[in-house]
Amino acid sequence: MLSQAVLAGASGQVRNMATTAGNLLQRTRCFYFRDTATPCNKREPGSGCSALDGYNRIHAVLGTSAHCIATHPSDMAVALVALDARVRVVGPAGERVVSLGALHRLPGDRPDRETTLEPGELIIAVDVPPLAFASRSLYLKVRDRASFAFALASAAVAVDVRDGTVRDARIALGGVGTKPWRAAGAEEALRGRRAGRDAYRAAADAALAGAVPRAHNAFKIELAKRTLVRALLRLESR
Amino acid sequence: MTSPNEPRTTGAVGAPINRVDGRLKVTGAARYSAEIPVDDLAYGVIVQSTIARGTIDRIDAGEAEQLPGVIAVMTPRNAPKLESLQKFEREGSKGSRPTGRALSLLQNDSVHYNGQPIALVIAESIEVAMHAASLVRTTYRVDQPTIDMATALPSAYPSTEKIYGREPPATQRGDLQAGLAAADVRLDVVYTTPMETHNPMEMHATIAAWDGDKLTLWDATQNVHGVRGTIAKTLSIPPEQVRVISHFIGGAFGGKGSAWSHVVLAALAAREVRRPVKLVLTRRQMFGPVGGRPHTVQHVTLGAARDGTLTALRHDSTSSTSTIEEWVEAATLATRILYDCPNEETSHRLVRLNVGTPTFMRAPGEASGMFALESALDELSYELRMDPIALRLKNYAEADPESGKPWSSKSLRQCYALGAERFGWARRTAEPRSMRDGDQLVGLGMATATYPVRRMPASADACIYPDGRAVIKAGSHDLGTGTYTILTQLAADALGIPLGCIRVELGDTDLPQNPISAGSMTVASTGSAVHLAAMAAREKLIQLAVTDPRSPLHVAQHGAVEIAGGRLTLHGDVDRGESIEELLARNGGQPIEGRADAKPGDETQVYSMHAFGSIFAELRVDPDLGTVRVGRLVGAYAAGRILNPKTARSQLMGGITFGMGMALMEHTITDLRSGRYVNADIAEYHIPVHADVPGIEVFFVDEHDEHVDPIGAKGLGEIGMTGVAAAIANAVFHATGVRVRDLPITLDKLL
Amino acid sequence: MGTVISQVTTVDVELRINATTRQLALDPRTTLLDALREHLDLTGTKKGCDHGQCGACTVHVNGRRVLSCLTLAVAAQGKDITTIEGVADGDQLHPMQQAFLDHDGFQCGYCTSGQIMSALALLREPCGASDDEVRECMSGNLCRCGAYSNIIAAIQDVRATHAHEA
Ligand SMILES: Cc1cc2nc3c(=O)[nH]c(=O)nc-3n(C[C@H](O)[C@H](O)[C@H](O)COP(=O)(O)OP(=O)(O)OC[C@H]3O[C@@H](n4cnc5c(N)ncnc54)[C@H](O)[C@@H]3O)c2cc1C
Ligand code: SF4
Ligand code: FES
Ligand code: FES
Repeated sequence: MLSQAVLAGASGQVRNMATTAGNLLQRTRCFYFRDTATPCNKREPGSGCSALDGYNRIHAVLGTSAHCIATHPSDMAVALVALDARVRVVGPAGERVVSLGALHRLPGDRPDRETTLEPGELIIAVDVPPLAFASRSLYLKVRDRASFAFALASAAVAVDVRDGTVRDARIALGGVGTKPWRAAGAEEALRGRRAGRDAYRAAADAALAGAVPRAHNAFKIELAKRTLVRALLRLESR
Repeated sequence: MTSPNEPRTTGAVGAPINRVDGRLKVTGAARYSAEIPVDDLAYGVIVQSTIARGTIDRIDAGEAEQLPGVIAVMTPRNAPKLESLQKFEREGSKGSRPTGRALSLLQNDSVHYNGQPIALVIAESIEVAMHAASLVRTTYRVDQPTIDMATALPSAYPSTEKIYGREPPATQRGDLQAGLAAADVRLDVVYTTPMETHNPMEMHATIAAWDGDKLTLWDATQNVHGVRGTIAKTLSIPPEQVRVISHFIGGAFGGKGSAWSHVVLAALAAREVRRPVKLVLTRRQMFGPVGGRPHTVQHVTLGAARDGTLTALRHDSTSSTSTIEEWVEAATLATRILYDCPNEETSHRLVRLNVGTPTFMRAPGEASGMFALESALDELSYELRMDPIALRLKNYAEADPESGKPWSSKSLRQCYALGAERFGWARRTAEPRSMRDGDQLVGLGMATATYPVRRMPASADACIYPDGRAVIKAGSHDLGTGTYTILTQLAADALGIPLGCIRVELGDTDLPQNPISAGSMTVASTGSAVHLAAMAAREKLIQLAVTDPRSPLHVAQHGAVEIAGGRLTLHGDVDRGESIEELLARNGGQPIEGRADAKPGDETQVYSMHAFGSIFAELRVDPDLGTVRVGRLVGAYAAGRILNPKTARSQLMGGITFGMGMALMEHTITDLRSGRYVNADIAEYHIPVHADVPGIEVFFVDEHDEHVDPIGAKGLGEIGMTGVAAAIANAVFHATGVRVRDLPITLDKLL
Repeated sequence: MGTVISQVTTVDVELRINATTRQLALDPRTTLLDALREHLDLTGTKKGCDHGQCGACTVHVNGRRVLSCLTLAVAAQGKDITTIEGVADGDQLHPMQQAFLDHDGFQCGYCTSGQIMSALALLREPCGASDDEVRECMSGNLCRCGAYSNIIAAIQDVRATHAHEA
């Protein structure tokens, strides 16, 4: 799952240059964030969010606020958050460990503050705890062209199925959340159910339950659900 | 147009030789405009407006000017006033605009689109210039811009100017209403195509250097003589004082056909700071200031009898233009000639938006118009339950239905047959969603391709040197089109000199005048000129031999002398002859020169001239995710004589790939409030990458056309692009049963 | 508009490019790409976006393909840099260059240096054997002329005969 996620990101040359921490902490691809001529709360707190009522096809539907709807662009982070990874951080106050789920913040009313890192803190390592059923995992990315494009929706899934029943699951979504999106609700919806399309669809519905669409990104809700279902089905058929 | 000494050997022309400039390109030695070493260079960076409509209130360059390394900041406050433009304005904008296009040359404070050039920073380095540009502060009086094509549509007005100065903006033949009334089946649909941006890999770039009152421009242009004319008129200097050089161009696709604002600004800046100035646009600056394909809304109405015979065809296209200039996307020109429908109307209308002025973009008009027409034909084929190829054959035009003229040649029937055969069209089951590969839906679709043959006056010199080598000179261009190579081949055959002994010089106004390299005209225009120039030199050479008492060919019949491999020999007696070197050495060692000024004859009065083809697409659509993956694209084309099958194939594959981008991903997005170009980079303006592009197969139908031009070639730069978007849209419908009439076909439209 | 004679702060930079060491005084913000093109007259490496989006600026740093537009020149010190100008052996084209020539793997030629540098790196990367796998590995190199099919043919030709000797 992790290697698929890494390979699904960017291009060979970019990957050769990128660091793991840099990838986790990369800034959003929101058009308006990158165009300094337009208002953006993330770039310039209080200036307004151009995306809310602008062109927002690539924007998030989960974890958004009235101040920012920018998607977190990383693929790798989606796999890592599904795997309960932890980052080791050193800073002026010494070393500490932050779970990946707690590394990124929701935009809320301060979209400029993207992570829970303190000033001066550096990521020095990422630990991925062993997961017994990690071998039954995959990362599926859906995008506008076959390669070298950010996700419109992606799903990182790992499922432990015994005797046709889901014992445990790890699910995270990319391309739809303001942070790498752990779908705990979907995991909950799967546990104890018979593996199969119905259960997967129920999990997908649970994952997107709180989704808030804007003018151009409503399709992402259905796309994300189908992406998740497809990922789970593909895992089943392996 | 056959001369008495038409070469009998056809060695080089038609051979799939490697590009003669290929070695320079694979070693990185070919120099593009921004790469010319010029001493004492200063760097220019353009500052753009951040509103779409209004007036500059204050522009404060103080902080920028203070930055160490900044040489000057040119703004509307201090930019030199251009007499030519003032005169144009004084005369109430009558007469022709000196700049050709409506440019932004810092002459006033008005802003007409977001991203318009409003200042130019000149500095010692790129880094400083970029930094300084970010420090120029501007405030505006903002007016409400018009950005949204959909809401502005009611303001559309008919275009009245002749298109390309030649084609009427609207046409009518027969009686459309009667044709519709007589129809068994009618179709009335609207197709839309978005704004698109050329995005050649090389950004527009200009180096301007003055030497006294003489200006040299190394400019990334597909039109050196055109740029020279524009610059001379704009700066009110004689054209002879302007030299424009463009040896290698990193892709152009129509966008580099005009002298845009940055070219003039570079020249002005270089004059002001008395140093050569290099001005390279950023990728973001390629969206707006240098044109693109406009938005179109196309209304197509078809009527047909049960057997497929078209009884009525109407195609009305409305395209966007800017508020400062009219530019028409000629979307219905192909409709006028493609099918033999007795009752037909076409028209073009315009909507003014606060966007950069659109311009020619690969197959301008045909690419967008044929998406609509060829999709509509496909829709009709389902209504009629008729094979799409059979429907097209039913309405095959044996002569140009608009003008009534005969075709100079047309092999479209063969193109359908060859394409269908190579593609395997016969395996297609007609019903939508009827073909599958595992869980993927399979779609097969096709469309017609066509592009007119146009030609403009062009001149060339051919010079044979005493060492047996030859140099061909023509102020044309190689945009990746293979011009260097095919001209070498044409010259080799005409002169009888080996390929390796010929050098072609292009892209310089010091060379004989040539037209813009666009509209697939280069081969017909420049190719003809080079052929004729080389033939003229050949004539002189033969004349010299037969009148030289010391030549073994003395008093030989003029027509009996052949030249091959650098030797002149008597036909039928290869032993009687001599080398070019020997002949010239004995005759004063002077070069032999041939010159030709080629221009179209009266063939356009007599014939309708077009290239034709067929394009087939096979793709897979994921029924859940909506992703489209094209598996095969097969095209069959008839375009007269193929001078070099290798470069010709590449041209067509390139056009097909461009068409695939148009079909599935290309879309220049503007913010409907601010007019800002939202996806102004090539990560978010998607063009196909390696992984998107399947095996593309290109086939040629042999075609002999003695009317089009002296070399019988029709040009291939754009036809590959035509029909592709429709073939893909038709295949998507076949796969899914979803008809997408609004490009691009992104997955959200198929969910 | 007076001419301001002024000093721009520079740093000394030493770069080893194509086995030759070059000394430069550069604005510290200078990218490796601009150092090559604007300061060293090594213009074979192209600028197509300046933002990591096109691959035209691909060079090798310590044998790996990277984007010179996203690399600061100062950060490339002490490393072995190879550009397109360092690929041929004198007049003898590298087999990859020859294959691009023979397969017409380019049109305008502007993306070509980057394509070739990527293709060469691929010979040492764990990229699968199929056309589709090569397409995926090459997807960071955009070609607007649409020479993709021929580029893949050229690469596969070389991979068939010259793998692991780039
Ligand atoms: C055209 C393009 C396409 C791309 N497509 C994708 C994609 O599809 N999927 C994807 O996941 N990524 C994609 N990327 C992103 C790419 O993977 C990132 O550029 C890369 O991961 C960033 O890594 P870097 O090491 O260069 O980070 P940098 O740019 O160096 O850093 C990014 C951020 O992280 C901070 N940072 C870096 N290291 C540390 C550390 N140790 N501790 C604390 N903070 C740190 C930096 O201060 C900075 O704010 C794409 C990039 C480009 C240019
Ligand atoms: S979505 Fe966030 S990043 Fe984008 S414009 Fe709004 S505030 Fe800025
Ligand atoms: S110039 Fe470096 S990737 Fe485009
Ligand atoms: S050859 Fe022109 S961009 Fe690739």
